[in-house]
Amino acid sequence: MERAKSVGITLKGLCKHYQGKTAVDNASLEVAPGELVSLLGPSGCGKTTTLRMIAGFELPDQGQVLFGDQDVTRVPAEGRQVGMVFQNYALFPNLSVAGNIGFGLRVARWGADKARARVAEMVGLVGLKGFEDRAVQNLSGGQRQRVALARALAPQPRLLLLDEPLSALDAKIRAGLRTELRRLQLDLGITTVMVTHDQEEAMSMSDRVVVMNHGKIEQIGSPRDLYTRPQTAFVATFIGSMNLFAPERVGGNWRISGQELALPVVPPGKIGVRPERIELNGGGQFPGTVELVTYLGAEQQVLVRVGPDLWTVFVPNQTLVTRGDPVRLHVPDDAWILV
Amino acid sequence: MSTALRRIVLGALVVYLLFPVVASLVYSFSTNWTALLPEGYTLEHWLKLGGSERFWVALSRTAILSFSVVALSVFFLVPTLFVVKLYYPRVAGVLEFLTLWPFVFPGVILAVGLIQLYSSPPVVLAQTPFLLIAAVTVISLPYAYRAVDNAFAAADVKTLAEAARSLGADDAKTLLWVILPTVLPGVLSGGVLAFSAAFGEFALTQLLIGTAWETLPVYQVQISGTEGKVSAAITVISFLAAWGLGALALSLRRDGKVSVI
Repeated sequence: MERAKSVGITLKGLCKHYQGKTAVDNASLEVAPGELVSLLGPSGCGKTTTLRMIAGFELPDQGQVLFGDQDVTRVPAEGRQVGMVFQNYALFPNLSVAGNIGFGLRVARWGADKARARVAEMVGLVGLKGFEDRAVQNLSGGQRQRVALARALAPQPRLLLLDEPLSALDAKIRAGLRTELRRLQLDLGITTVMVTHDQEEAMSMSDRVVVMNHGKIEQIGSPRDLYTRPQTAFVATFIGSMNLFAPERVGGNWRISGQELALPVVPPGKIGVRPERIELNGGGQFPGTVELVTYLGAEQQVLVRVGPDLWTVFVPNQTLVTRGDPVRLHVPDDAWILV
Repeated sequence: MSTALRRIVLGALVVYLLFPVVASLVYSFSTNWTALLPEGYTLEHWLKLGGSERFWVALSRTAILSFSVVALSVFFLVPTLFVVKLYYPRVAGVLEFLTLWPFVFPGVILAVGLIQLYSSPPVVLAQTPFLLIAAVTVISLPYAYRAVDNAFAAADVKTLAEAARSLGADDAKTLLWVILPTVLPGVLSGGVLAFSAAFGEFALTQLLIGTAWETLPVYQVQISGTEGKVSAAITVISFLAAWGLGALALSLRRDGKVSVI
């Protein structure tokens, strides 16, 4: 399998407004060659607009897009050599599977033999041997997205853009395709930017994740970084779940959920703790009452009322708790996260 | 609803729609028809029609008119809708409103206005087939617009065009290789509708050009007073033309997912 001639991407201070509303506000980002970076955030956070500016479908009001050293800000989409996969597949309904995959080669005037060989290679790559002459309407969602991926990769693009590529698929197929997509991306070494609103998808597939909110980049980091060292309250609560508090100073101690305790650090602002780090333990600092138990299979999510706050705690599934039980919550010193 | 009743409902519609056509067909072959059934049958009227040079001239004019209208409608609609859907989505509402105008203004108003405007310099087109073709295109456009617009809406043309562009296709290739084939079923349906509207157009034709450039409907009206059975044969021909073209368009549709109308 040949290695793609992938380039890095640099975004410098990208801004985009729609009718007075700011869609993307001063977004800067560097993507290394061969890296997979996800743009993650709630709908309307600007992640799709950012991707569309990289693809060339939107012109930024300010800022630059660079592929390697080349400034492509004003290069139209058809001149950027970018492979793109869309949420709703966007396969050409008048063409067969092979016709779709070969479209970019036809546009680029590849020779017939070379194009045929390339299409065959791509069909094999995405595991659709034998489907070459099928009409795309007769394929399942997962198969369609494989065709879309093969079509995007066939003309050897400089980078790959994925716009919510798995959102239209069933949970089972999504999980399978997620792994496959990542393996393929690593094998080909192709620089990839993926937009998703699914944090699990972003965390599991990406080298780095860019968390966006209200058009701004909140934090850029590896999945582990974002989970263990969130820098803003938004990131802390958007990635995984987090019990977040604003502690009050009381003498030398701090008050959290009505309980005074000594903290190992001085919190600069808010302080939080992940639900899975909390222990149900007779010696815990926080006395509370179980309000709701949700059985999730591998674990249970327990909501505990502690003073004015409702804490979320993940408890192993063999621990028996029911609504109304008095419990004490223990937070180990190293479990506190400063935000 | 019982099975019998369901069939009656459908059957009543079929009878209502087909009866005039069948009656015209029988009438065009009849010798004398005063009782419930004709006294006898003859090919006389059809032979007479086939032997009339005036008929063939009128038919070819109507063909020229209809196909020109179809060509103009497609020429105006497909690129326009492509541009509107992709670059000016908010213009779509205006376009839709505009296509309703020919329904609002009676043909008479349109005809009188056109004659006045084009009878004097700088542009003198009154009493020419060009003005007729242009005018009939305007009133046929709404029919074609519906069908073509539906095809554009059903296909998510915007994303398809973006996919094509990301694969290196410029606007011309995108339109010719992706969008046109995708909306072709709708274009064919729209073409058939525009064709039918133009083929049977009488009021505007009569006012704009009349017998100076006689089309089939005008010819039919001219002879209907004296040659009723020949006129019936023309009615049958008109129906066959519309149905034949419709069937052809249907058989050309490869993708069954886009609605005909």
